[in-house]
Amino acid sequence: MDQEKGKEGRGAFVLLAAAAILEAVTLALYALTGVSEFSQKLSLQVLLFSVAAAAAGIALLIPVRKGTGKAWSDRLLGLALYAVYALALLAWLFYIVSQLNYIANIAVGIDGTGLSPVFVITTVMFAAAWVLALLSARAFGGKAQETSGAGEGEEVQHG
Amino acid sequence: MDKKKGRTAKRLFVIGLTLACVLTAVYAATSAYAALINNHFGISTSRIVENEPDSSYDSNYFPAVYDTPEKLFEAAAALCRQAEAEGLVLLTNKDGALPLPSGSKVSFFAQGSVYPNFSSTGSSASGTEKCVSFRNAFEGAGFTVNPGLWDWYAGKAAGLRVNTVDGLVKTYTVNELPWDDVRNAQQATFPSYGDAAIVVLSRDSGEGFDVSTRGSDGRDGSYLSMTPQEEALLKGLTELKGSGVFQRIVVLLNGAVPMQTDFLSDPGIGVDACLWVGNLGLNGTEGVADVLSGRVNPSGRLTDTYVKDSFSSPAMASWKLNDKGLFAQVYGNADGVGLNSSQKYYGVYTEGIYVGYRYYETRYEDVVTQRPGAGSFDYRSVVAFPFGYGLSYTSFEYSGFSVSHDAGKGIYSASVTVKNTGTAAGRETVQIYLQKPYADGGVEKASVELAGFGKTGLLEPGASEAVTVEIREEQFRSYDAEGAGTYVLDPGDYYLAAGTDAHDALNNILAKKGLTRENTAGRMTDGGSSALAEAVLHLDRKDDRTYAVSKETGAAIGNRLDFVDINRYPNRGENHVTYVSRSDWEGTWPAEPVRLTVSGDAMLADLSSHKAIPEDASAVSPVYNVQNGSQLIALRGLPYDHSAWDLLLDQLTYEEQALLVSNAAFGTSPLDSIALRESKASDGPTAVTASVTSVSFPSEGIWASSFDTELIRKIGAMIAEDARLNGVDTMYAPGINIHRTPFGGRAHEYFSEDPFLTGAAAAAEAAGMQEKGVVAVLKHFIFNDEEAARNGICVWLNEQSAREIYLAPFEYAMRPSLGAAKGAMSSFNRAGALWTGASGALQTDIARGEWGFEGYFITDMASSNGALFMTYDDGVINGTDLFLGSGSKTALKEWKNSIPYRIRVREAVHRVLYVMVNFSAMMNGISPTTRIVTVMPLWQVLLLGGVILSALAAAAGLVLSVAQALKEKKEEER
Repeated sequence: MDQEKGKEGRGAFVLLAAAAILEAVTLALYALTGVSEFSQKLSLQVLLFSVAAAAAGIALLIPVRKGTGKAWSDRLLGLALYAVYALALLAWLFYIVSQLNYIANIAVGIDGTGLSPVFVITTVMFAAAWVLALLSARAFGGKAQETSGAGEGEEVQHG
Repeated sequence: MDKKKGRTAKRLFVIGLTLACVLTAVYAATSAYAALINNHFGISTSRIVENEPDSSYDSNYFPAVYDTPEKLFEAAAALCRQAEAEGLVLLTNKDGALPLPSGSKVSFFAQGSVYPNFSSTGSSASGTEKCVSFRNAFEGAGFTVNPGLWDWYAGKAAGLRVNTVDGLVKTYTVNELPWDDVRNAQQATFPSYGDAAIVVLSRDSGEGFDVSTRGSDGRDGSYLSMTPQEEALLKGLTELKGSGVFQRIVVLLNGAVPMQTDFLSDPGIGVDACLWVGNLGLNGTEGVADVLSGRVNPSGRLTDTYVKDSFSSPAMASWKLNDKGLFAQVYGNADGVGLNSSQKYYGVYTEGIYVGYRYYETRYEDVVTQRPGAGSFDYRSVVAFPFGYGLSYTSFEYSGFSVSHDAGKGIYSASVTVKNTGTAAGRETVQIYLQKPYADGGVEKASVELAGFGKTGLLEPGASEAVTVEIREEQFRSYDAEGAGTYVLDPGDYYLAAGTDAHDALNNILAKKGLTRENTAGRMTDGGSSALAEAVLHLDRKDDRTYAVSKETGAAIGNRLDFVDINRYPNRGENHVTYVSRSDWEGTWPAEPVRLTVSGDAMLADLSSHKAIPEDASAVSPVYNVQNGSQLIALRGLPYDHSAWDLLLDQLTYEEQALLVSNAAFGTSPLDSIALRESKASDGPTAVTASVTSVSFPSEGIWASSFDTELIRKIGAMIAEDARLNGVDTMYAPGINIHRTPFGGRAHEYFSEDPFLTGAAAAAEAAGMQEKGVVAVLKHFIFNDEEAARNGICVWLNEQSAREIYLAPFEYAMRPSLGAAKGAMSSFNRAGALWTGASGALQTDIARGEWGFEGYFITDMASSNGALFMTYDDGVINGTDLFLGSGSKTALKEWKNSIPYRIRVREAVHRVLYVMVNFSAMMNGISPTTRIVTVMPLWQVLLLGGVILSALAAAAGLVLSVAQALKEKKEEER
């Protein structure tokens, strides 16, 4: 049983680490390419949410990796992971919102504007970040349930 | 049980959180586009509240005639049919092939017959569901249409005219069905429907791209030449005509862009009659049927020169040399200096004033008179049908041409008596052309310019009518950018001539000068009639004073557009172009591509946005939020500079002003503090977009070719009535750029290659709209005569051509004493290196200073195109009053500390409100006792409610989850 829990803890950790790194890399990509002829400024919301998502993800890496050993605190940690997911989701959504001028131009189809690789890559990376964060939260949730199921006050070793 | 509760709480948290995130983003996105959404769904954002209703007060300032879509539809259909019948142009009619005998049995050929061009894409797009097919139109006119052939085309020809896009290049193709397939499938049906083979050759055009000059399936690679399949079709039909299967072949040119008509003289092609019918609109097909049946005698005259070689003009000679056959070229060092896509393109109007017939006719005269450098130009082999050309089923004779002059009014009156000498009743278009004196090396002059026109009523055979056309003295001026730096009258003789077209009028002038076919060794195509031309003014000396001051405002007129002429642009560096000059046609003819580079930091700075706003230490800040009980409606009828305006404007906050200016995507926001409701605007030139009535009119060129301003005024009024039924009070129409070349992508939205005709038509349409309380927003100001790379392309041209060709229609339509239109839309492109909406020289100095324009300037679509260069700071400070985008109360906060900016924002609001209260039906129902209450639309309320509910659900889930965890903690501690 401990081995299973350990696997889930590692899974959540890996997914969260991937989400946080992806969020940070995408943030950098956005900061470098976000100003275009269709959006004059970087979106403050995208910057805030992606910074928060990346930072929160990184901050939670060690607790997720080591676990709290307590069912109740793992439960709270699981909720925090969903907050990371929500922040990453918001970053992605507001990135789309920030690109609406550009998307509208493509949709109207009267100026020959096509999908740019930067837009596609940024969209996919932001989306992947929140998907990974969500999977991380779910994986950790599964582990937390196991922790809870391990019995009251029982210390759990993650490894 | 606890675990179950815990799981439920967590699900509630996760689902609520996810929903809250999604709905928050949706709310943010939709709020940014709220104006567009509300406009699209016809949602009002304000409510009228009557405090103390005064039944004696009539607030129906602009009464509408039609109160149901059905009633309007019926009237509009009749008008559309009339416009088509009056506007289409009969180009050839051999041996009286038309009108068709009553009850003829006809066969329709080519894909365009079943799938014609009713409208177009972009701002002129309109639904075609209710459009009347050729078959229904012709059967309604008493003809019988070959059903088998029709059904065969209906089954085979859908979607053949495809286009592909690769960057700036849109390749249009015709893909006509092979003649062998048609013949093999349907030849058995031909003899029974052989009175006429009617061939519909359709050509599309659309917003965002120019029509293909290369890579299409036309014979010369362009989209405007006949394709091999079309050629085979016409040759096949000609053979069948030879064998008696068909009695005649009639070709309908269905498109706003002019097809190259060299095929009409091809050996093996025997077309009996050819007509240009434009884009057809709702039921223009019935107008075509009216003409082919003889119910209406055609009186339309060409608004563009029809040529045998689309590349024969100097503009196209230059364009043809360009990379990819595009107007738009890239600055040589674009990458090196880091230009973005809204900065790196340029195009040059090297032809100067020699646009359309101004080139063909002038070159012709210079060949006739053997001006040095005129070269071997052969008019007959280049021009198929001159500007102003058109046939009738009858013939007319002109006599008694005379010109009188009223110096007091500054008007020349040209009169001519028109007699119907044929056998059918008909109308004749009388065209008066002006020739100004030209000297080598002097100000460029075209040999003829349309100066005025009139139209007879329906003349019965043998009947006569005297037609008088007024020409303003001012039209004699020319712009001398290189010398006097203002408008001048050059020394020499000024001629006015009547003519059936531009070429005929020129021949009449040449005849008046004593030239004949004989004494020009046959270089004249026709002898002309000296009786139809008169030298009306002779000047011994150059006059550079009379027109150096605006007749409209008294403002001094001088060079203001050096920044648009690459040869005079202060930061031009080594850049230089050669403009075409009639002093040496061959030596100045475009021989190689025009290559420009960004000359240095100064030019780079001009191409950049967010230029410093000039400060003025003496400027006094406006005041805000001074509540003095002013209501906008109380200012109705007061002059623009009345002191009451100050009180009203003082009442607004800067933020309210910012909201009005920045948030004008298809309408403006309500301001309840001054009882201003929201306005609603719509595209486009030939129809109200997505109208409840589905009404659309033919392409603008067809209206103009009627040469009937009263008819155009009626169309404007009908579009306005349609707008009113749709809750719209502002139309982004008419389009009045110039058909500079045959390949312009938005030809369907513009009237003509001629600036006078364009201006007269625009003034008529604007008058029709504005009498119904719909503000006419002329577009696109300015130099938006091509579509390639329109988002920021730098258009370079000299000031003479800028003023005489491209600005002239706007001047006509915007001057209070002429067209008096109350709105104008700036363009996406740049004038030189500056975005047109950021040009104080164009918007403030010329339009307002010289012309006295009383209306407002709005940008083109700032929400979805090129937002990087269409900036609030550059635009507002240089005369832009509204942004066609989604703004807010905080949109202009960045510049709130600049007093000049505040003053300009206030002026913008003043202009917009002045137009609204005096000229817009949006004020209907508003009286001095009315209060406006801003309301949040239901969709926004629901969305906001969704955000709050999902956030509450997430919060509840979170609280329960945390409580569960704490409970577990306690249990654990126990």
